[in-house]
Amino acid sequence: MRFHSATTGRSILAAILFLVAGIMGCSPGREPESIDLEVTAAFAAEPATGERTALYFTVTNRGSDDDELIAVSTEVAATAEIHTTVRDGEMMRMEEKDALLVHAGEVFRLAPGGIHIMLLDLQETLRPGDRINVTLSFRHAGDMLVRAEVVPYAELEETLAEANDHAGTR
Amino acid sequence: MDIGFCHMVRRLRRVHPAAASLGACLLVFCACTTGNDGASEPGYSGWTLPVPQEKVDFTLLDTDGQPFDFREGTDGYVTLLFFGYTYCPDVCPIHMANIGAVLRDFPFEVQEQIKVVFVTTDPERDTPERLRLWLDNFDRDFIGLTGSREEVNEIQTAFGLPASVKEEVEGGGYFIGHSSRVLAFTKDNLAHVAYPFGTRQADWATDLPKLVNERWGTR
Repeated sequence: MRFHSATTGRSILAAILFLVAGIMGCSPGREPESIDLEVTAAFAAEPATGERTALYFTVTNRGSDDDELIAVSTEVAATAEIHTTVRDGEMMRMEEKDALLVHAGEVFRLAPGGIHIMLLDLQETLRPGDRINVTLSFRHAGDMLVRAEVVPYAELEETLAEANDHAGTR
Repeated sequence: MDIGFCHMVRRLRRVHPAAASLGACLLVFCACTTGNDGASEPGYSGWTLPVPQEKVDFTLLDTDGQPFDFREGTDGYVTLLFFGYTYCPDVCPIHMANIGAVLRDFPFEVQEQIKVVFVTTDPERDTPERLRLWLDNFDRDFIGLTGSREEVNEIQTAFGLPASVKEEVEGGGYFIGHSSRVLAFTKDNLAHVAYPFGTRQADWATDLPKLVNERWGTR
């Protein structure tokens, strides 16, 4: 599958487990003291009906400043939204979030029943084993390109657990 | 302890709606502990209902367009009942996929004693054809039922579950808020145990054969 490499800005290249992430660019404004974000365990579910699916990953912020995921984009979906599953008693419902704060020192896991990236209006057929390119835009770290592997829904639980165990981010 | 934590978060959210997002984040960490109205039955990872839930009489259309009488169609089977919708990308497919994956590994004589019934809470978009296509991802034998929103909400309420809620979102489209609980009926046609979202495949793999052999009260 295609891989977009960083072309502008300062770049840190990190090779991690199932994906390669390029950190590039930085947003104008206040300059944080240090940026050290890593994205691991990126997986998308094989869509059950074709039009939409969920994407999960883990963000590890080893820097000394908080950062915020402010946008997600991918060529395989017309729209990508940050969704949180809100539990109200035993009722579960989804809410869209504008951004996702990742505190300094925090390991933030997107997970089933918690937060996921909803990929809407899929442009391609995604099959298990496919790898999709996803750009995560952070307020300070800038754009980060990650590759997420497509796995069947039935394997999500185990795959995410294993990937997070392996990366020590569980 | 986790349960108490959940309670605490809920109270917090009632008092201060702005804390909702904080609550949601915190709740992720106690995702396996929903179902505050029951306790774990020894030997079951699901939640035992304080009063076993009786089956409700209802008939809805199955994915062949035929009427399906729930009581008659599931009589004497271990029956897993769930209300959800196919445009749901997270909770519904994961619940169904986990159950489907576990069932596949059981011997046929166990499989044939278990029925899974999925009732859509989104009748506007979930046609019987679409429901079939979606369920086939998980198990071709899963039963998919459709009815009007009013009918389905009435059925959910009769089962002691919250009615589903349609929530419009910006730019058109909508989500459906719905119960995340799978009701597990045993052969006595009562649900003694319910399974919240967060139930793992290992939990299903252990509990389902036990539910198949369960003889409540005669242990």
